[in-house]
Amino acid sequence: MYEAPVVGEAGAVVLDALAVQEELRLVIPFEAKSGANVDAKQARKYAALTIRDVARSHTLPFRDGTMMPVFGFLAEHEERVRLGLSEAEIEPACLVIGPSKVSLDVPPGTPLGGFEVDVDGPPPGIVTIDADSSHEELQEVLLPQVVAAAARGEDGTTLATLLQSAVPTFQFTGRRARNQMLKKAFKALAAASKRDLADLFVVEPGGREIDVGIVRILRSPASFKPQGETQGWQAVRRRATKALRGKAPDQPSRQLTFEDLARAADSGENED
Amino acid sequence: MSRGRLPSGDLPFELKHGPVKTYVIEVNGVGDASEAIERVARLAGEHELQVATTDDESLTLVWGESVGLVIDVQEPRFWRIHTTSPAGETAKVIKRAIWGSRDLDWCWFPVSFLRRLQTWGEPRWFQADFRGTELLPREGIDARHLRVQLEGDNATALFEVLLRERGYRHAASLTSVATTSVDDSLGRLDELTHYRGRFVGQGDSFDLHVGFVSRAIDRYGAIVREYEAAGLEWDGTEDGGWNVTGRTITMDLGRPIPSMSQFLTGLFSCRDPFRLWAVPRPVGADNYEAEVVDLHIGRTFRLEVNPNRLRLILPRHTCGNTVLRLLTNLQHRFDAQISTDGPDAPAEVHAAG
Repeated sequence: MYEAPVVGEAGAVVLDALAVQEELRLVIPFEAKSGANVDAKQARKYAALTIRDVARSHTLPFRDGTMMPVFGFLAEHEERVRLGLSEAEIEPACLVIGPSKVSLDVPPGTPLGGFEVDVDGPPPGIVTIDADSSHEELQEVLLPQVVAAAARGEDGTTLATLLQSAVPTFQFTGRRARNQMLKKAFKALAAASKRDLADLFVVEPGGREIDVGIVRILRSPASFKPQGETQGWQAVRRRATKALRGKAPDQPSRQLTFEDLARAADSGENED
Repeated sequence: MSRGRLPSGDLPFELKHGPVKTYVIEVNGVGDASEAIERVARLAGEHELQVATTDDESLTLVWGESVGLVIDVQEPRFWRIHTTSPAGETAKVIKRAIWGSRDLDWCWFPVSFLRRLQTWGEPRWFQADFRGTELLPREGIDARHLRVQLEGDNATALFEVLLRERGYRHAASLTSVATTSVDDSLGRLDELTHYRGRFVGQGDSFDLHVGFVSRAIDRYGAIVREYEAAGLEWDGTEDGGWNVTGRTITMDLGRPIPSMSQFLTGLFSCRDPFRLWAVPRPVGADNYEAEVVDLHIGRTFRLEVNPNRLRLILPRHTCGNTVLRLLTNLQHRFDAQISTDGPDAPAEVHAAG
């Protein structure tokens, strides 16, 4: 479970993740850190949690077991995070994520062993956006949703619908954080529309109700004749690349094989 | 468009002599046979074809000047379109319908699937067609384009030879396979299967051909649905936390991507057959991530690329055919040895059919 609220002796805390290993009777409150700073007060809340605290809010398959708080962070922040944990006087297990290696260090006496494994890149991006994400990060996930709506032939959609599709956890986000995301989404899409994608869509404010902000699709290549549709989408991609990366993308190869040339001359069945 | 009702034995178009061709297309969002029949009628109208229903509630007849089609929607997700009309004309009609509809797609048979079909009879013939010019660089690749066709006894043994050749195994992307099988009571069947869901049967019994197609499509449908079950599903509440179920799908590319720039540009060119739109962004050395739009159905998924593998993160209800379209076309354009950790994994290929 993610974003799991638990009330312990040291106060309430929302765990980034809560994992349960039934066989080892192990409960893992997990704190995922994107940066290098450790909030000592929050860290101590993690360390002070008991099985009973967790069982009060969530169903556990056992009554007695072991708590093993884990802090996960990037290898580039390891030194500072470990220092922060030491200053907070706690010793959780540490999941260190590097570009080619992931390791778990566990304190002595815990039932789960540590490990070090080679990896071929970042972990899967299951949750990539939250209320703290930047305009640029929101643009990355929202522009494809606008393109998808255009490909479906829709005339328009709401900001909330786009966010719901781009960020599945949006529906579980509290009202305040949700409004924060809606405001950022409005700014992110309005900027892209004004700057590079004015032909494709426009964003209209929803008045006092930010939820009803509307994205209107102005001209979708899906409505073009088949001969022009692909070029239409390629043009949208060029402009979106400029909006997101500040430059035009590489052009796809135009080279045809001899067989392609033969097919072009053939009025019969064409594979592609 | 006419829309009458005909006895199932009474055809308003001429059946030509020759092998029966069956095109199987995947149709999304149709609940049952009657909805499917309605969808067929709308499509016929949009493409200026005539249509008639029959006494058999799962059979519809569609015809125009150059084609006559018997469409079987008994399995509403996978329509079987039987015809004896010329292949070129029929393919044009179906291609036009698919291009213009977000809910229709070809079936996409990966190499592992076709190799399994080869075990359903005596393999007599195969064709492999590899076209790597879009995704592979001009320099350093032995065969960017290769077309092989073999016919004869033990044709698969020759295919195994191709697979053992280091410089050519990546190009061993099966396009069509043909087998001969004999049933004690129904007789002999020569069946050719093309990777875009087309079957051509010749032999003693139409039932044998239909049986072969049904068996293949039952299996294909199971693979499609298994990919769909992998999609991520979220549940929870605002103040009680949330859960996610499902899994990612990994495609092992068989060999490192020689030119990442060319690979990504070709993959996201918006062109047929991939029809994918994305603006990939670099994350660390040689890793890219992309929110991909499948232009064919107007849905998104996340793709993470590194030189050795692709990782797909699909929302629940993503069409499983999207995965198979990507996999199959990568096998024909990047490396025939690409495999996934999904239901079409190569380990299954050699199992008995």
